[in-house]
Amino acid sequence: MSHTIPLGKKEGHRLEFKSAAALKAPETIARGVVAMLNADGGEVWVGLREENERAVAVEPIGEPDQAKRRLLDHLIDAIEPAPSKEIEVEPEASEDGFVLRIATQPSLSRRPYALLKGGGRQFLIRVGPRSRPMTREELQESFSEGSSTSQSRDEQALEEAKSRLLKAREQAQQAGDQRFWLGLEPTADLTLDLQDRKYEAYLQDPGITGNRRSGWSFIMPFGRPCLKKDRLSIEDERRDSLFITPKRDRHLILSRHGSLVVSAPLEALFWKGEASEIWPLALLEFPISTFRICREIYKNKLPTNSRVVADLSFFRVRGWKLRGGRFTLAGVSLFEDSDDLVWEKPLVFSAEEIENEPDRCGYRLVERVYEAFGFRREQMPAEFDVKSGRLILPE
Amino acid sequence: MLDFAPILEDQNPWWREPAYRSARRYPVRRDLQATVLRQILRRNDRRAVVLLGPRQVGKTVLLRQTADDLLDAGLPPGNLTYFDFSDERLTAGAALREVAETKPAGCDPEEPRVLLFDEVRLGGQWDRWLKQAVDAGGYRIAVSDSAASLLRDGARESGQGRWDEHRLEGLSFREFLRLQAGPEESVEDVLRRGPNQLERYLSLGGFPEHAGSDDPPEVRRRLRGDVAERAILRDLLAFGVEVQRVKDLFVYLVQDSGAEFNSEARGSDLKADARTIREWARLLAETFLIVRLDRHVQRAAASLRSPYKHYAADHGLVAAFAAASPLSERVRAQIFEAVVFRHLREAAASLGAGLSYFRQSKGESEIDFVLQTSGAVIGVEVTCSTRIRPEKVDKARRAGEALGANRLLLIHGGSVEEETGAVKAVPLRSFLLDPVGVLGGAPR
Repeated sequence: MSHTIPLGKKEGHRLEFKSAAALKAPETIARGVVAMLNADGGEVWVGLREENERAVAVEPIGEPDQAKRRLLDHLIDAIEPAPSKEIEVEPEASEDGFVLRIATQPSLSRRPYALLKGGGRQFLIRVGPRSRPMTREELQESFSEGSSTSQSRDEQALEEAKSRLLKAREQAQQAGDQRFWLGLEPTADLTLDLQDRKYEAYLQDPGITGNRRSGWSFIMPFGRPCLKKDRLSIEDERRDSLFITPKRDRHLILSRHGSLVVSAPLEALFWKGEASEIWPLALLEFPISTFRICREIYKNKLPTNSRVVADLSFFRVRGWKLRGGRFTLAGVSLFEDSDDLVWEKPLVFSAEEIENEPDRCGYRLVERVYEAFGFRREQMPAEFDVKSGRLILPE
Repeated sequence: MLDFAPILEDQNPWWREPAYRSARRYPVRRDLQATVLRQILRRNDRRAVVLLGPRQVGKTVLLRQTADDLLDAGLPPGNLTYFDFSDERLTAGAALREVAETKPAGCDPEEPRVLLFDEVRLGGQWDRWLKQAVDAGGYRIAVSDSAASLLRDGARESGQGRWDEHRLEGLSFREFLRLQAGPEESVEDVLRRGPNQLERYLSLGGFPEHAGSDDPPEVRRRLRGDVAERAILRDLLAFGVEVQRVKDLFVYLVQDSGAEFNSEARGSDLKADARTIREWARLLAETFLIVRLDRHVQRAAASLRSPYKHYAADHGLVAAFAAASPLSERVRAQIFEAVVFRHLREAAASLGAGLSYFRQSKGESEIDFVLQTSGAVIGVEVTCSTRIRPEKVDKARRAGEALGANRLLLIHGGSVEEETGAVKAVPLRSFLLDPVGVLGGAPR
C-alpha cells in the first residue's frame, strides 16, 4: 500500500524527517526509531530535507530496495530488544524519486527499547518533535510495564494480536468486494522459515493436512505459490488469465510471523439451491479445512501458553441466504441486517485447541454465522459430529 | 384401440398440448445431442441415428431433449412420435411397426414424421423394421438402446448405409462442468467456484445422474448396484452365459483396468478355459462398460494375434469396483488412465485418428496411448504424480524414439505445463478441458 509523502508537514511527536545523507550514518535514524518505540510510535521518513522542522523537498534515494535492506539490518543490530513486528521499512515512490518510510508500533511488553552504542545502551524517548534520553523515573516505569507478570504480558500480546487481525480485516473490508474473509493471528511470533518447501506443500496437497481433495478449501493444487516479502501466498491459477479477474480469486496468505489470511468471493459458497444461497457444507468446510492447515503450520511452533485469534467475516453479504441443516427442514433465512457481517470481537483459541481440535475451532466460527442468520446450534449440519469434534465428509 | 395407444398418448403430451416440453428439467445438452439433432433435421438424408451406450449414461434424456428442440424448431407436434419400449405399463409389449404407423391427429403430410424410439430392442426385430422404414422413406428416425442389446442381433451389417451409429459415453469433464453451471455461468465460472471440480469428477465419474452428488461413497455403491446387478445381469442373461462368472470377470477387468489382458490367468481364476474367457470379455466389451485397446503394431496382419488391454469405460467404475481405497496411489493412477482414455477416444474420433498403446515385445519400453493420424504419431504417457520427474520424462523420451513418435505428451497430476526436449508435460485438467487442442487439433 503506498502512503502520501508528508511534504510540507511539520515534525512532531509521531513524525520525524531525515535527509538521504542519514543513510551514511544509520545510527542517527536508529536513534529516532528507538525514541518513538519508547513513546507512542509513529513514522520516520528518510530522504526528506527539512527546514525549520518542515519537510520541504525529496532527496531521492538510489537503489531503494538495497537501502531498505541495509537500514533494516542496521536497526535490528542496533536496537535492543531486536524489533520484528514493531517496525516496517518500505520504499515510497514520489515524482522526484524514492524515499524510505519507517513505521514504528511499540510492543508494551518489550519496553523499554535501547540503542546499542559503544558497548553501552542509550534509552531515548520522543517528546514532541525532539528525542531525548529517558529520565530515571521514565525508565523505572517502562521497566515495570515490561516486567509485569507474565499473565499481563500474555494479555498484552493477545490485545496486540487482536488489533493486528482487526486492522487486516478492516483493510479487506474497505476493498468493498463481495467476499468472505478468515484471518488467524497467533499471539507469538513464530518466525516461520517460509523457504521450507513443506509450507507450499500444505497449500497444494490436501492429503498432508487431512483435508479432502474434492472438498471446499483454500488448498489449491493448481494455484501458484509465491514467496515474497515475508509472505507466502497462493491464489487461483492465473494461466487462464483471460477469464480470471483478481476480484474473483480465492487466495491465501501466510506471513513469516505466522498469521494466515484466506479470502474468496461469496459465490464460492454457492453450490446448489437458490441464487445467493450459502451451501451449508461449504460454509463448514472452508473454515475447518483452514484450521487443519494451521494445525500443521503451527505444529511444534506455537508456545504452549500462546493463543491464536481468529475471525470469520462476510462483506457485502446483504441479501444472501442460509438454509438451516443440510437440507430443507429448518427453512431458509435471509441476511438483511447490514451490508457486512462482522463481529466486534474475534474468537480466541489456545495452542492446545488448535493442535487437538482444529475442526471444533472452525465450527465455533461457523456457529456465530448460523446465529447471525437466526439459527440455533442444532440447526447446523449434522456432518459436524459435536461429540468427537470432527467434520466428517465422505470422499 | 391398441393396448399401447393410451401409453403412446401419455408419452407424447405435445399431441394434446403443443407447448409441452418433456426435458425442461434437463436444460444442459450433451455434445452428441447437437450431432443427433443436426442429422435428424437434414431433410435430404434418409439415414437413421442409432444411439448406443451403457445404461444410465443419458440416452433417454438426449432423445427427450431432441424432441423438445424439434418442436422448438417448428416441427408440427403431430409429426413427432416418441416411444419408450421399456415402459412398464406395456404388459403385452408393443411392436415397432404398429407404434410407427399410429398417426396422431394434426400430422402434417407435407413434413417428414420424426420417430424417436427408446429401448428399441424391446419392440422386436428392430433391425428389420428400421431397414424397411429407412428404405420406405418419409421418416426421420433415431433409436437408442444399450450397446449389447443392439449388437446381439448381429444387426450391424443391415445398417450399412441405412443408419449411423453414435456412441454416448459418460460425461466428459467439460460436460460434467456444464451440468453444474447456473443459467449465466460458463464452464470456467464453475471451475472457480465451489470445491475442486477436477477431483469431484475423478471421484464421482461420468454418469450424469451422480454429477451433483456430495457423497462419493454412496455414488460408488450405486454404481456397483446399477452396473453389476442391473446392466450386466439384464444385458447378458439372454446370451445363456454364466452370469455370475461373467460378473466376476467384469470386476477383475475393472480392477485391472489398463493392464494387458491375460485370458489364461483369468481362466485359471474363474475356472473356465481361455477361449470362453475371451468370449465373455468380448460380450462385456459390447455392453460398453469395458473398452478394449489394441497394441500398436507396424503391420496390420500382426494386429490379429497381438495382445490388448481392457479399460473401464468410465473412470467412475474404477473407483466403484476398486479393491483398494479409491484414494490409494494405484487406484488413482488407474483412474487417471481411464479418464484420459475416455477423452482420447472422443478426440481420436474427431481427428479421424487410430488409438492403441505401445509396448516393445520384451516390455523394456512402453507408452500408455498412441494416437495415429495419417500424418503423425503422438505418444501419450499418463502419470498421477504432481511432480514431473526427470526419469519419467527420460523414459517417455526413449519409448517415443522406439515408437517413432512425432510428438510426446506427458499428462500429469500437477499444475505445470512445460516442454522438456521432445516431451511436453500437460496438467490433466488442461488436457481434459481441451483434449483436441492439446493433441494439436483446433482448440475449443
